[in-house]
Amino acid sequence: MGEEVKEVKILEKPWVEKYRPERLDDIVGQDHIVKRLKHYARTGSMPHLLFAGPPGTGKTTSALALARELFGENWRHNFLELNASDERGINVIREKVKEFARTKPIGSAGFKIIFLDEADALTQDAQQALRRTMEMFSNNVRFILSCNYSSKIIEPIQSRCAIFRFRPLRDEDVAMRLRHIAEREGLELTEEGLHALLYVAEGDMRRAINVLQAAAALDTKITDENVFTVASRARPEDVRQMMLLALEGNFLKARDKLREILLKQGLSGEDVIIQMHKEVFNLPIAEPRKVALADKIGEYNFRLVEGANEMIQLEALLAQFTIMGK
Amino acid sequence: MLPWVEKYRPRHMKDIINQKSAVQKVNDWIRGWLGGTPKKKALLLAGPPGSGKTSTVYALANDYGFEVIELNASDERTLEKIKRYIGAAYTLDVFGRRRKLIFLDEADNMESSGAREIAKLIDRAQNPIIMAANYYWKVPREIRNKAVIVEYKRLTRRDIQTALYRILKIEGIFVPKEIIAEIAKKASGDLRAAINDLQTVVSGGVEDAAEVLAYRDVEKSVFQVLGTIFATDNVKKARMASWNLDMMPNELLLWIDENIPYVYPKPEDIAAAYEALSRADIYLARAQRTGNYGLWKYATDMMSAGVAVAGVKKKGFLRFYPPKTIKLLTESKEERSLRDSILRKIMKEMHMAKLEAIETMRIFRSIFEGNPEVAAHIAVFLDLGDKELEFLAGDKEKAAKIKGRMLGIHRKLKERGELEEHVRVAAGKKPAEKAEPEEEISEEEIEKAEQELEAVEEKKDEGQIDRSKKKGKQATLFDFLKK
Repeated sequence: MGEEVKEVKILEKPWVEKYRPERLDDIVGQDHIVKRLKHYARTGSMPHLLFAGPPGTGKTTSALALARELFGENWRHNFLELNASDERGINVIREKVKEFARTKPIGSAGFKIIFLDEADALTQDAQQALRRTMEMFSNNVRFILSCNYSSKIIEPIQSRCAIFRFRPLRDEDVAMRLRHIAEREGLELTEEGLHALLYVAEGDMRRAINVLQAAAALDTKITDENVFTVASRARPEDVRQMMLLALEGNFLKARDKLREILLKQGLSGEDVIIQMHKEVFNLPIAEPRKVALADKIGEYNFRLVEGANEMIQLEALLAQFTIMGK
Repeated sequence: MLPWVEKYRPRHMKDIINQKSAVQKVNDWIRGWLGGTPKKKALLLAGPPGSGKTSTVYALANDYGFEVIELNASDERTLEKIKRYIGAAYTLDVFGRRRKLIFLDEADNMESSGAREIAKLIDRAQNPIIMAANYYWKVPREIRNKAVIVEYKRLTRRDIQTALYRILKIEGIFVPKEIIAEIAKKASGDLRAAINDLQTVVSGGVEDAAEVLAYRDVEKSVFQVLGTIFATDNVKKARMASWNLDMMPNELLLWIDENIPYVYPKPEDIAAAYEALSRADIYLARAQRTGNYGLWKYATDMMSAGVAVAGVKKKGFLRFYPPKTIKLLTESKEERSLRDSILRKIMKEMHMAKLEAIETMRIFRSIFEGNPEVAAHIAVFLDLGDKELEFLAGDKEKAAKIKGRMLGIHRKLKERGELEEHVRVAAGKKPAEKAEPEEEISEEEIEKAEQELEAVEEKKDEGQIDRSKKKGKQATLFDFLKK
C-alpha cells in the first residue's frame, strides 16, 4: 500500500514489506519471468511452478503479485503460504494442503495457489510424498515451490513444474529501488552510502532494503560508515573466526564456536558450510591452501547431505582445518 | 534431606526383610556374648549387596545396647583402630557405660598380611566383632575359621517392592506401580540401590523416571566403554567394548565425539579420529534412510576401532566428559525458544525463509537497540511480546522505551479502528463481508481422488493429462455455481 500516500501512517511496516512490489510490472530485474507470469494472470490458468534462485531476487514477491493479479481482492483467501523448514515434517504440510484444498476457490478462479517456501529443505522422501500430494489435489490447487537450488528438487517434481530461474539483481536495478525509497522516506543517500549498500547487498534486494532501513534508523543521512556498521551486525564474523581458530590449531575453541553457531544462533549445518565456502578465499593463508580447503569443504558438504549428524561432519571438517593451517 | 536408606534403615532385628534364618543365627550368637564369651568371637555375614548385612549390625546394636564402631577392612589404618578398641570391653561416653561392637565391612577385600593380624586380634577380643562380605570364600581363611558364617540370600523382587511401598506410604507419595516394578527389576536384589533409585525418581518428578533409571545404568557403563576405546590400540578390543552397551549408536557417537580432543593431543590424530567419526555418521544415516540396520555394525566399527587407532593417545589418567551439546541445548532453551518465535513471526509476516529471517532479525536488532521509534512500529507489526522485545532490544530499559511507543501506536490504531484490521489481516482471516458459506469438497471426493491417483500411479504420465482435463470441467462448474 502506502507508496502513493504521503502522510505518515500510524503503523509503519518494515520497509521490505512497505516497498514490496504489489504488481508484476513493478518487479525489477526478472523481465523474462514477469512476462510469463503475466501471461498466466491474463489467461487465468497456470501449471505448477518452481522458482529457483538466490535470496532477495523476487521469488516470494512474484508469487504474491501473481496471486493478486489472478485472484483480485480474494487473493488472500486463495493463497496459502507454507514454509518447508518450519512445518514439522511432510505430514503436517500434507494436512495443511488437504485442509486448504477442501474448500473451493473464491471468485472466478478455477484453482488456489499454495506457495511452499524452502522446498529444498525437504528430504528426498518428503519430496516424493509432496509429489503425490501435488497430484492428489491438482484438480483445484497449483503449487509454487520456491528454493535456492533447483538441483535439490527431485526429478519427478521438476518435470511437473514450469521452472523459473531468478537471477541475482544487477546493481543498477537495486540502486534504482534504493533511490526511490530514499526519496520517499526523505533520506539523504550519499554516493558512498549507496555503493556500500550495493556492496553488502550482493544482488539481494531484501538485504539492501533492510540495511537501508537500519542505517536510516541511525541517521537520515545514509553514509557508508553507517551501512557497514549495520551490515556487520547482519553478517557476523563468527564463521570466519571459527575457521581462523581451527587454522591456528585450536580445535577445542573452534568446536565451541561451531556449537554456538549451530545451537544458539540456529543456523543449519548447510548454512554454515555455505558461509565457510564463501569465506575460505578471504582467509590469510597461501593460495594453494585455499583451494585445498575449498575441496575439503566440498567433500564435507557432500557428507553433510549424506550423513545423519551435521555437527559431527562439521567438526570433522574443522579438524581438517587444524592440519591444513600448519 | 536425609537419605532414605538411612531414614528407613530397620531399627530392630525383627524388621529385617526376609532373612529369617540369618537373623535367628545372629541373635543366637549375640546372646552368647551377654553371658560371657562365645566359642567363636567373630561373626561373618556373607551375601549380595543390599541384602541386609549392615542393617543387621545396627538393628542388633540397637536391640542389645551396643555402640557400633564401623571400620573398613581394606583401609590400612583399620588395624590400628581395632587395636585401640579391642583391649577394653567397655568405654565411657555421654550415654554412660556402653559396650562396643566392632563392625568390619568388606572383609573379602583385605590384604592377607592384614588378615593374619586381624586373626590375632580376634583371639584377644573382649567385644563382639562382626565382619561383612559379599562372598565368604574370598575372606582369608585365617579369619573365616575364627568366625560363625551367616549367609544372606538375595532379596526377591517382591521383597523389594514391598519395602518400597512401605516407604512411599510413610512419605505420603504416589508413584505409579510400573515405575516401582521397574526399580525393583533393575535392583536385582539390592534393596539399598532400589531405595536410592526411588528417592532419585521421587525428587526429580515421576515424569522422566524411565530416563533417570536408564541414565544411572548407562552412565556407569558408557564411561567404561570410553575407557576401553580410548586406552587400546587393539581393534578387536575396541570393537568389543561397545557391544554390551545399552545405548543407541548415534548417542554413543556423541560421547566419543566429545572426548576425542581430550585424548588425542596432536591435530593430525584428532583429524584422523574425526575422519572415522564422519564415516560412522554416514553409515548411521544410510541405516536410517534405508531401514537396513545391519549397517550399524560398520558405524560402530568406525566409531570404536576407527577412533581407537587414529593416533597416539594421551598417557595416564583420562577424564571423560558427557556430551556438552546436550547441556548446551538445555541451558539455552529459553533463549532459543524466544529466538525461534521471533523468527517464526518474521517468516510469517514478512514472507521469508528461515535464513533470511535470521539475517533480518539481526538487522532489526540494531534498530531495536538504537531507535525506539522505528522499533516500536516493527514490534507492533510483528506483534512481539514483552520477552521478545527485550530479546531484540538487549535490555529492559530499551525494551520499556519501545513498549511505551508501542502503546501509543496501539491507541491511535484503535481510535481509527485500524488495529482490528491489522490483527485480522495478520491472522490471515478473510474479511467479514466475504464470509459467504464455503463450498466443501467432501471427504468422498478426496478419497476418490486418492484412489484414482493410486490407480494412475503405474501409468503416471497419461494419468496426468486425464486429470488436467477433468479439472477444466470442474472449474467451469464452480464458475456456474458462483453466479
